[in-house]
Amino acid sequence: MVGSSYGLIGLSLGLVYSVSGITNFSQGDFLVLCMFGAYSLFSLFGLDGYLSVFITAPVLIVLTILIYKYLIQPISGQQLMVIQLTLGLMFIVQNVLLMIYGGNYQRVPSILDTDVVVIGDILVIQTSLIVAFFVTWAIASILFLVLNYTDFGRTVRAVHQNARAAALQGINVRFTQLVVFSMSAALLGIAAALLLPSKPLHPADGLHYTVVGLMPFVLGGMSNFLGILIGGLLIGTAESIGSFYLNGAMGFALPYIIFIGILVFRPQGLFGSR
Amino acid sequence: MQSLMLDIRGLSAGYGELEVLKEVSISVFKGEMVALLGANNVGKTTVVNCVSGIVKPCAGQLFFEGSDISRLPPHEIAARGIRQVPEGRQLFPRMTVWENLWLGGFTRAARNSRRERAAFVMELFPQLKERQKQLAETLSGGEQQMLAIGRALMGGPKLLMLDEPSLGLSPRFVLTIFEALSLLQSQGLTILLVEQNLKLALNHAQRCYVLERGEIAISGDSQDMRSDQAVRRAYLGA
Amino acid sequence: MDKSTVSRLIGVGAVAAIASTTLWLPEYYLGILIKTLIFIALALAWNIVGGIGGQLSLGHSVFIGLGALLPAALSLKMGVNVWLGIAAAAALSAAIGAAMAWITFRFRLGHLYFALVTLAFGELGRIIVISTDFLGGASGLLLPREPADFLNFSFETSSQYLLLALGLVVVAFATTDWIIHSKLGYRLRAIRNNEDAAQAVGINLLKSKSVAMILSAIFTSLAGSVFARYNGFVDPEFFAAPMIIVTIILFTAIGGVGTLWGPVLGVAVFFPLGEILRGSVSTAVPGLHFVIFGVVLVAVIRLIPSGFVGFVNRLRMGPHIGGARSAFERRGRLVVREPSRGASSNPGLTST
Repeated sequence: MVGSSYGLIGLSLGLVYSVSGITNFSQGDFLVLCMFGAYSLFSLFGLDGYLSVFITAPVLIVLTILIYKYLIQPISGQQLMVIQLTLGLMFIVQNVLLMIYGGNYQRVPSILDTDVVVIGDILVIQTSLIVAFFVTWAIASILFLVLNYTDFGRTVRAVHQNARAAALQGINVRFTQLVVFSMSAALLGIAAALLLPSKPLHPADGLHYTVVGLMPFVLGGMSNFLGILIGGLLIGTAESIGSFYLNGAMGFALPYIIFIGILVFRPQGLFGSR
Repeated sequence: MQSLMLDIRGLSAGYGELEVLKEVSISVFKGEMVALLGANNVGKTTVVNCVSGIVKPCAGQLFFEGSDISRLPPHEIAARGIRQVPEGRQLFPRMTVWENLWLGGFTRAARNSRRERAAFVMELFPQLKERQKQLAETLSGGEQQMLAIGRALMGGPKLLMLDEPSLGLSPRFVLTIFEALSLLQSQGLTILLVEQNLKLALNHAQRCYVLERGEIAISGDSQDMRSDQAVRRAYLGA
Repeated sequence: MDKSTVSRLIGVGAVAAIASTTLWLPEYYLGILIKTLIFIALALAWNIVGGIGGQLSLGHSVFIGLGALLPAALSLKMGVNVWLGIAAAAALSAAIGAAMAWITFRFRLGHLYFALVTLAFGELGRIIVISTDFLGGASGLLLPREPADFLNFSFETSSQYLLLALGLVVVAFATTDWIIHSKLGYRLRAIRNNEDAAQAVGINLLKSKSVAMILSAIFTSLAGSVFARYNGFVDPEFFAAPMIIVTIILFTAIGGVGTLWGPVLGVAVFFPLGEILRGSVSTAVPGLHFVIFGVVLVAVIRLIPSGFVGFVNRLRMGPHIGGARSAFERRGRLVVREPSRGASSNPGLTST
């Protein structure tokens, strides 16, 4: 269930990648940044975890635009440099968070925190996860509609399929990319809000979330959005099964093992083409 | 006196250390078709890409209808009425014919006339009308070329640049395309044609430039060049 | 006296100078120097695959973790001689490195893919280490301070550690130098420059990359072993987590990825700086020194992408033909998405 939120993270990565070929290794850290933002909003104003997204998401969007416009786009031709730069960002964000919030785990309570839904005799699912699930698929549907049926969506697909040809038709590629990056940031902010109720929070979690978002991203073939979401479900399920049947931290290893296993047989991901 | 549409002066450009063009000067007047000829890899596409704004020149100037366009980004140049039909078509493969055309009319200026232009294009190239809902990548080479041209036309261009439109096409399609180009020219469109096919170029264009090793080696009216030995030499390589 | 003799003399002199610090440098600084040397070794090791090979590996933390924990675990829990343990760790690292190389390079799927998959490996490694009691679990392993016994790979004074670390660095440096000038280095540079062309010339991509990976893994593991022994306490969150690799990559990036001196300079300048900063500034505001680092780093990458060494090189030689995009090209290029596999291809170059 939690996999759907992982899928969202993967989707935010996929969006950015599909129009620019950039992968942001600090994505998870920005997620954590959002979560801490929510935490602060909560401890200062008592603002519920879910509602804070209306503040954290826009802030993240602005931050994202600034970062991409001034730091990343200028060197976007050099893939290795971009990766290094995003690693640097990861470094900065993580340590800024450590600076401000210290090294302890925090929790952000919300109205739904411990609510559970009982289905028959068998399943007990945290309400927050159900909410996450539905929100994710709702967003995915909106995204699908936008991409396929609106002019803007077509523009995005054009830039994805052939950026140079898009420019020749008068499409401002850089601007389109920035808009897509904003969408990606919005998704990330939402993912942060969705994940908040179910997990304890620590500034160093960023890398973990980055990896957890990267796996669906790669499994989905990096540009196939539906594939990414399904990949997210897969990873999430693997994690749940793993931690249920295998004791302790080892259970969390299951998604990674499955991930690597799949890659051995299908390096382009489950849904990747070419 | 004809008005000068495109004025390329002393254009030098390259990639990294590799200098491809050395002080190339080309003029295109309104309403005419000018051909840019030369052997493979000699820099013809670079010229076109410089005009389109995809490659920034090292030196030289580019004037379109009197204004300097050398520093403009590609989408603005397209908005001004210069459209390129790139080498190899460069369509949007997983979009339908209709979507490709629709995107051709993306710029603000072109948006209002999208419907009319689309209808015009589909009349010009009936095969496109038939295959409206098909994905671009499923079309044949000739149909793809028609789509690429149609897409460029959707922008209502004043100057149309075609990079090797006849490459890989059967004679039938080549004929269709050049008939369409002649029709468009008669309606006022200015055309810059990059071609490897000497005969085609000389038959359809009023004037030609021959690019050899990054420089303009020969230029003049097509009639004069038909019999010129130097032209043949440049083509068979030095 | 020709140039290479001069540089060799300088090298020997430098080594001697550093070695002499054991005699006069106060304990605190000695400690920093030792750790700096170890990090230099780690950076050089990573650089083999990351810089010269051009493949950004984020999974090297696995090798560090193995090198640090395996010998310790084997010796503490099963009484295996530490040297054997170190060798075992190095061998295992080599095997894992080969596996990583095979999985990611089989189909030429590009730098990004490699980085992502190695990152997954890194995280996987961390989780496995934390959950395996034999390797110390979440609480790590404590290596007791024993009297100096070379056979048992235990040392007593800082001076001894310094010499050990220095020796390691010298070996790593020499190896890197050798690699750069060898056929392997030539092949790797060709691959980094243009994979398609390299393959067309007959270079076996998979083999070259795998060899680089294996060499890199071995050295990383060795460095990890030394580090563990010096530190005394092996904390898996530090040793086996990908974060340490990120740090190394960043230092190397500042210095200049892929060069011989880049990793050395980058680490040599910034690591001690960090430690000293941490001592003074971070007691008040923990983590500040890292933030300062990060900012400097990002600034450097943004402004001087080829690092200091690259920058100096360019000053010396003037603009040169390189595989990297030149300023001219960068100005002119659209942001065109690079294909998700294979080396970066520039459509502009194939047509004129």
